[in-house]
Amino acid sequence: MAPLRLVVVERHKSVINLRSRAGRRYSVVTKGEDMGPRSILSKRLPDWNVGEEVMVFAEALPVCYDPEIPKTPPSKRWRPLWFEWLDFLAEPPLDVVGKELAKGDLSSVAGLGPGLTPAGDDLLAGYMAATKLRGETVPAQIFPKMDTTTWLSFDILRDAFAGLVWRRIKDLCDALAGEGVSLLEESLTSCLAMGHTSGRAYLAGMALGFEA
Amino acid sequence: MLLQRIHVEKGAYYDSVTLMLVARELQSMEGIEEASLNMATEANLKILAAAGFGVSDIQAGQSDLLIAVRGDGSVLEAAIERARELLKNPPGRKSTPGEYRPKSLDGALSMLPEANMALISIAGRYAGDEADKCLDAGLHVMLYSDNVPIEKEISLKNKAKEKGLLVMGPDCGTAVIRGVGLGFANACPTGPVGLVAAAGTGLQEVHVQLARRGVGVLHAIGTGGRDVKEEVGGITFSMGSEALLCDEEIRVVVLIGKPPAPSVEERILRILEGGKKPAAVGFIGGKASGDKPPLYLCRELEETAAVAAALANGKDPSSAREELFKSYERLKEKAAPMKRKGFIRGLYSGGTLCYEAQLIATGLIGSVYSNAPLASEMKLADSLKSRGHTMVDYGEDEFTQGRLHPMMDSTFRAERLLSESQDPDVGVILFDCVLGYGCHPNPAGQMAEAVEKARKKAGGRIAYVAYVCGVDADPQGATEQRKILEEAGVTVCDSNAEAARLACYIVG
Repeated sequence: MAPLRLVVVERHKSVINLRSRAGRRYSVVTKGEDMGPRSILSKRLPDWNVGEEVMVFAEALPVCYDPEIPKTPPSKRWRPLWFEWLDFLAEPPLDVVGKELAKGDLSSVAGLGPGLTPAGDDLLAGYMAATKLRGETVPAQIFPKMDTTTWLSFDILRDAFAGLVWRRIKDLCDALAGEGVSLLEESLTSCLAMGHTSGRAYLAGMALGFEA
Repeated sequence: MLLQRIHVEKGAYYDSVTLMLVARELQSMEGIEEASLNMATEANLKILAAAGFGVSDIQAGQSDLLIAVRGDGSVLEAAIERARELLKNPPGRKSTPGEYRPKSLDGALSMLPEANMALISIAGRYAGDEADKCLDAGLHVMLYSDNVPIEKEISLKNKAKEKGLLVMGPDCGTAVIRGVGLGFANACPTGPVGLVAAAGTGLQEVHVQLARRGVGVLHAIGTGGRDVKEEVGGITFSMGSEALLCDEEIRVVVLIGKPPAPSVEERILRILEGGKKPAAVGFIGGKASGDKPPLYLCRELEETAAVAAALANGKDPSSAREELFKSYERLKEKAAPMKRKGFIRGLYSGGTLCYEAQLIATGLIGSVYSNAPLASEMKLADSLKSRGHTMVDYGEDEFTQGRLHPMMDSTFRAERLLSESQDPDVGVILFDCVLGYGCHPNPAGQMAEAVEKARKKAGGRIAYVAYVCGVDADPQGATEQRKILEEAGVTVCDSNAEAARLACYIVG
């Protein structure tokens, strides 16, 4: 297989995001919980600079987790809990997304709100993941146009639409399908640690998806 | 020149911890000499006025927040703005994502379906309805919140009774369930005693005094102060007593509180009489007296603990009581070299401790004025102005609305200690330091600092007497706290009753 030619787009403390010629995101991460689809887990980040082109031999990389959303729906036992997640939309800074949702359709929140990935997109991704988890098809009309949001966010939505999620979300899906309290507590804590508002927006989106 | 400004934030409610944290932050600003954030209650306006703020033009109601700052005129505006900013994201309460905790009752129950009790600590106006929901969910309730209307309390307790559940509170600050302290509780040992109490410092004092005598408590059921009123009928007191009498692990039952309404007292005593377990009943200052085994009727907190400890240890309760009162007599010798002229000024964080001290002092040196007096004619016209012998309960609502309870922050009480020390008619200043979970990490430190300052001004004119209600296992450490006070020149006693007596003997 030919090596992937990727351009370094962002460099964070424990994550480097790269873009392929086809516009897909690839990442190098140093923490297991930060793994998403097309991610490489590394002990340390390589010395790549933003704008640099690098080559990656994908077949040499170990598979750490399966990003596909499981097919087991969430246990109804947790329903009171996901109802609480909707409250995140009533509190700043996510209230801006909550207000928009109250007056429009779901797709109107694309690209809206604070965060590296706009909170509205996190919510949409959560909604898509929850819909998939319920075994339903995600309605195509909620998928936003490319120019409504950031490149990274759009890529996350593409994955979610295809039923692929970040490792933290995968763990949460597994926990919601089960009955273990500590596992669920742990995965929820991990989700809340995503970005400044991402975790909360994602959970609110999942709650909407479960109740749709 | 120092200037001042009071800003009114209309219809803004914040909990007292947030207000304290923001006020501290403002006080650390350069050019700010004093800052306080309080709800605009009548009492808080009075307190601000006493602190020298001009409040006569303030248009604010009790649902409004007052941001008061004094200092360099050039920074006052910035300080107000800073306060408003901090209120959105208070220091020490950052909204960073942390461990996931359910936010609703249903959510919590989905994660903890085996739970059988809920502790409610929210604003009083919402607390009753939440307690209703908990009862519907089959949960016992500890209602820490106060300001719940008595009608609501009655309906909650009746509903709970029908369901065989307990409602502890409202205003239940302390409880112990299977040895685990809830609310303001001391780290005392677990043992064969079961308590039912109004659930304030009276409970804490007996808990601590039992621990000093090597006796532990398995359960301490709080009822809230109004439970023994005629209207409520002692529902929780009765249910709690019955539960402890049925509990095979409980060998001695102890009841503590202010004297109940006569019909309620009769009902409770009847339950105990039929219970076949020894019981020490400490209705503080109550009229009932005389031991009728298995019932032992006491009038003070330490006395109740001494009798209960004797019962638990298989010793003679009458001798234990006798010994205790003999030890009180010996305080007269201790007081002899400490003699002072003047009045006693008691500054209490614990309501029941203040009540007991008044009771003892009234018997020894005559009537005592208070904001929470034994008799209505002794009520202070202004709680901030003492007259004669005065004992002030800083835990009363007038001091705690939109302000931290004095057990969590003694700043305000320490200021009063300083001003009382300047009164030439004062001979003794008496105060408590209540320890335990939830209390200030160093209450003795706060009070000792004030004593040291006061002694510099007043010299040896005033004697300072205190009681540290706590045990060594408490987060603050009783011995350590005691030492802090003693190093500041305070005479520290072993019980509240002892401290009150010593103060009386010093001026008597």
